[in-house]
Amino acid sequence: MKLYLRLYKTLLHLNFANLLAYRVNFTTNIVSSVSWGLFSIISIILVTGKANSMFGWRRDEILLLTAIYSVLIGVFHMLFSKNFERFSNLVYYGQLDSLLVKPIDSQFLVSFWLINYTSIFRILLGAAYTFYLLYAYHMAVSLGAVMGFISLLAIGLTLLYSVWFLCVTLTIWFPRLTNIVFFMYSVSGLTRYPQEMYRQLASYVFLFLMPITLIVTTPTKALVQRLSLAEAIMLIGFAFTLFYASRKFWKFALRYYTSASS
Amino acid sequence: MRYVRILLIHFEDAIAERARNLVWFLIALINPLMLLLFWRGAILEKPEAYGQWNIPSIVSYYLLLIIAGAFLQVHIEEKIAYTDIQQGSLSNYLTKPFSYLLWNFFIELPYRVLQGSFGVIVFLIFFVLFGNIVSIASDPLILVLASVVIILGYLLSFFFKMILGISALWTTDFSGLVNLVEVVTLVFGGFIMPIHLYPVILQRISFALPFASMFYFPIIAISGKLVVVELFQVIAVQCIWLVSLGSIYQLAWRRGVRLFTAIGQ
Repeated sequence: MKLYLRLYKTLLHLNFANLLAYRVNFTTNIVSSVSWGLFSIISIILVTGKANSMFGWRRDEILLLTAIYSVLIGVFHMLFSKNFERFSNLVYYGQLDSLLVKPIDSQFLVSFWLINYTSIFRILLGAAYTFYLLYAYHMAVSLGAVMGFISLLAIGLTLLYSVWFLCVTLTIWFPRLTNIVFFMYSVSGLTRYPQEMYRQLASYVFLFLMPITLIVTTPTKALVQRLSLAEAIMLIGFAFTLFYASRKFWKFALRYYTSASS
Repeated sequence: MRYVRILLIHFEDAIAERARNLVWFLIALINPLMLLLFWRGAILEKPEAYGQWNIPSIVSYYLLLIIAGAFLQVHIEEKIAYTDIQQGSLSNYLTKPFSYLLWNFFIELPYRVLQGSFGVIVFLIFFVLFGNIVSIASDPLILVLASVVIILGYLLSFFFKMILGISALWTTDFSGLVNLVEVVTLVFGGFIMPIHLYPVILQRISFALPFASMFYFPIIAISGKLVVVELFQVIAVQCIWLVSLGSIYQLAWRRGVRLFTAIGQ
């Protein structure tokens, strides 16, 4: 474990040095990150403009859900999404070999190599909007609710990581589908709507989407103190089950990796 | 004839990469479907707040938006910026007796047609399953004029993305600009919701920019929400934008190509 922490510390330094070396890239990435953060906020403000409540959520709670989504997705993009983009290209160009021969866990290497510091701006935007909403709509939050919220947010992040990793692992069999990563960006967007919205779908579709719909909804409910124990248990259960499944699936997939032109 | 050959070759490529194209289409599919679900809930909750936009018109809007997102949203800019300009492949085009503009037009068209046809399939599935809540224009004259609006919308989208692509001749990093333009397009092109439901100030901004002419007006034209006079007005506005974007492209291309060093960046 110590080795991995030391390695991650080195990766943090290397990525930061990289950031300083390519300053124009840094600036344009901030523009991208903040643009998408603003987009999710503007779009939800627009679509809820004429309604006071939807799916059992008040308008301010739906806005809060989007703000928290911005924070969570910002953290996810900072830590993981660039790695998944890199992973699909590693498979496509047959470069995964160089990682597999290293004396470090391969899942760690494909998941944590890159750190996208510019996403911090999206996290800050989401956090600022969260605080604004809590203040403007006089939403009372207790210390216990905040602690529960942070814990469930971390578990939601684990669940989102597991879903992405499961899907991106498929590129081992379908190396041409490097765009599955961009598909996952869209899938992540599903988490910014209330879970209750998906109940309009056929029950089997709802059950299939259920893990994703819990990722942001559950921590948000914890913050506004509307969370039931069953929902918290479901999120935790899905997170640990899918994390375990993604780990097993990765080990299984590696047996089929045949290097270049796989 | 030579451009027809280019078109056919790239049709073969698009069909050979159908799985990849399907994934691109699914990306364009998810957001409108989610918004459709969201709107359904919103309208059921407070139907009087949305005026003439009821469940059938909103369902038709988002289903047509899926087709518009797949067919009208040209994605040639990244190929131009990264492959042609930054990696230096533009030399291949400059040394051949072809128009760079037309070549790219015929490269992109097959991918749009294929992905647009996925959208049409989704629309037809909805039409078969829920025929009574999906509606498009039925008057032949409106359909003809709507087709003109769609073609002009595609051309506008194409010219806009060509300009965006060749802007890489002046910049060293292109990704920030692309993402910013993508967000602006989604907001002002009507990808979030019908522009007529925006606050007045946003409506004015949207109608003053070209994005509504690329995506929004083709959608509401084919769904039968515009009368003949309005359709002619939309076509006139689209023609003005087309001339403007065409001129900007020509100017940018003539000046930009002189900066190209053929060794990438």
